[in-house]
Amino acid sequence: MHDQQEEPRLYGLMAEFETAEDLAKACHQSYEAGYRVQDAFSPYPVEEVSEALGHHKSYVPLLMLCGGIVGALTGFGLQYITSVHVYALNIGGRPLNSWPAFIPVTFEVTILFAGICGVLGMFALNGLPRPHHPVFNVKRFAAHASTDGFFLCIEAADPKFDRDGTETFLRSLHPSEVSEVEN
Amino acid sequence: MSEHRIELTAERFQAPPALSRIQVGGLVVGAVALGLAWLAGGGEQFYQSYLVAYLFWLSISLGSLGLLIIQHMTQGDWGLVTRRINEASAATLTLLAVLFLPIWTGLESIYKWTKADPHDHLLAAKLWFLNKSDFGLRVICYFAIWLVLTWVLIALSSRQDKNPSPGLINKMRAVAAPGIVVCGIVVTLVSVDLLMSLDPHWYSSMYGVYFIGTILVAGMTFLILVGHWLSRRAPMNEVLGPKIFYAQGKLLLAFVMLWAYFGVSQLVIIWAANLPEEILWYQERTQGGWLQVGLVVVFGHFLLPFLMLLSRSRKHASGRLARVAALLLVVHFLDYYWQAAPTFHHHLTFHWLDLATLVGLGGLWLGVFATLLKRRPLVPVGDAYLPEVFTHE
Repeated sequence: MHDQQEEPRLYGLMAEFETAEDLAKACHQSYEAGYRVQDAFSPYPVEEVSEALGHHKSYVPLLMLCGGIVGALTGFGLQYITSVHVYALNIGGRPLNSWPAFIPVTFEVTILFAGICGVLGMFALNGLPRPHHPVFNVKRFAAHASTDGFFLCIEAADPKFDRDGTETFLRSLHPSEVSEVEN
Repeated sequence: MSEHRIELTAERFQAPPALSRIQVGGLVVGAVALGLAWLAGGGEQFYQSYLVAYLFWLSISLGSLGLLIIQHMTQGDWGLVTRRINEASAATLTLLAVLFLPIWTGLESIYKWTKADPHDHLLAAKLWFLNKSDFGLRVICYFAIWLVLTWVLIALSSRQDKNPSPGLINKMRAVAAPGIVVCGIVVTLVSVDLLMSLDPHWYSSMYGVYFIGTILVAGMTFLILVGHWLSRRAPMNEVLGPKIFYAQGKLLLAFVMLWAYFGVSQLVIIWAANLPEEILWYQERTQGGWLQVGLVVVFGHFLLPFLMLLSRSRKHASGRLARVAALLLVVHFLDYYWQAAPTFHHHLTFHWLDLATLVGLGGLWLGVFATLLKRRPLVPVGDAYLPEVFTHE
């Protein structure tokens, strides 16, 4: 028997709210209170919540822009090089560099590259795919987070985190439940 | 976030007093400028300038009507709080119906098909469609359809103010749904009658949707500009926040891209086919200085606004968004000018009448718009969905 097993380290504290408005309000208050290492979970995207948590700039748009520019250059360059240099053909007396004809493909490749960069960049930046995350150790979270529960989790990694103080704070936000998140 | 509720009463949402100044100023400036242009200018050039200016203001009214009926179907927050602006702007079609008379009297100065050469077989085959009496009949039908659609929607929306019954919302949707289809067909025909027939030999199957692209941009830019103006004054400063402008900015970006897509498609189709009766239209517009105007349109109506509208923060800030809208609206005029004027002048020319008719029609248009906007509360206070807009602030 391992009754001297090490106590599971605390990942954070989680509060559950009943509506998106309550969650947004709670996020706002906890940000005001100085908590920064925290995350909110809702069954559908709630813009107020991400605003209340303080905007962290995402690099996905920038990646997509770079992908788009590279795609435009690739798309146009591919056609330019083949039809002007590698396989020059006189088609109906038109100039070899017939740019109007190149626009549709250039456009498509721009979108393709931007899209791929967006999806891959999103995965690279958000750490997915990830088989497990500590928040799923909370039973109610696992059961309700993707259907009808709104959760705010303040992580133990936050410099302001204090097991009892943070719990008192979370309870002051009138959640329906506060639970520990084990690591 | 805050718990304070905005009182949704008709009294609270009266138009700001500054709107009366636009009303009076617009009507006076418009009447003077148009009168002056008529007396001092006259002749062919007056009618030709008048047509472009008329199309510019018509495109805003039609764009607003389009946004209005789309909004009734999609029911977004931003469309609800700006519905009264779209209604007032669409209702200026009543003024434009009257102001069509000068085009009718000057039809021979504008459209070559009115004096078709009997030996021109290509044109002779089109005269069953392009003749004065049928043209007049069609224009009457267009306006009849638009005005019925607009005023029925306005009447239902006004009735909501006094009697907030949810049934009215469904009635408006029932009118708007077929309205989208009908408007799409009518506006396509209008593009053929008013713009494409300027060069009666030319045809482009892409032209109708291209024209729809231009009017959607026109309607959206005007809505953003008016919204920005209202958002700096009570009472609308409490309603028109960054979220509303963000939604509008996103849609404007989509419309700008749609316009470019149609424009490029038309160019590529005609350029690839290289048929003499089609390609001449582009040749006329890329010679004698017109190429430069076309390039300004490409840059000012697509490349620049496209890059500017990519920014998320710009779409949230009404002032910065309004600057893009203003740029687009100016270039939108140049777009019509580039399409119409080369049939009248083979070399690039700007006549003072182009500006005078634009200001004259614009003054009258804005004056009537302000009059219509002032008449009713600035938001549909009786709409059952309106309180929802304010609850999830």
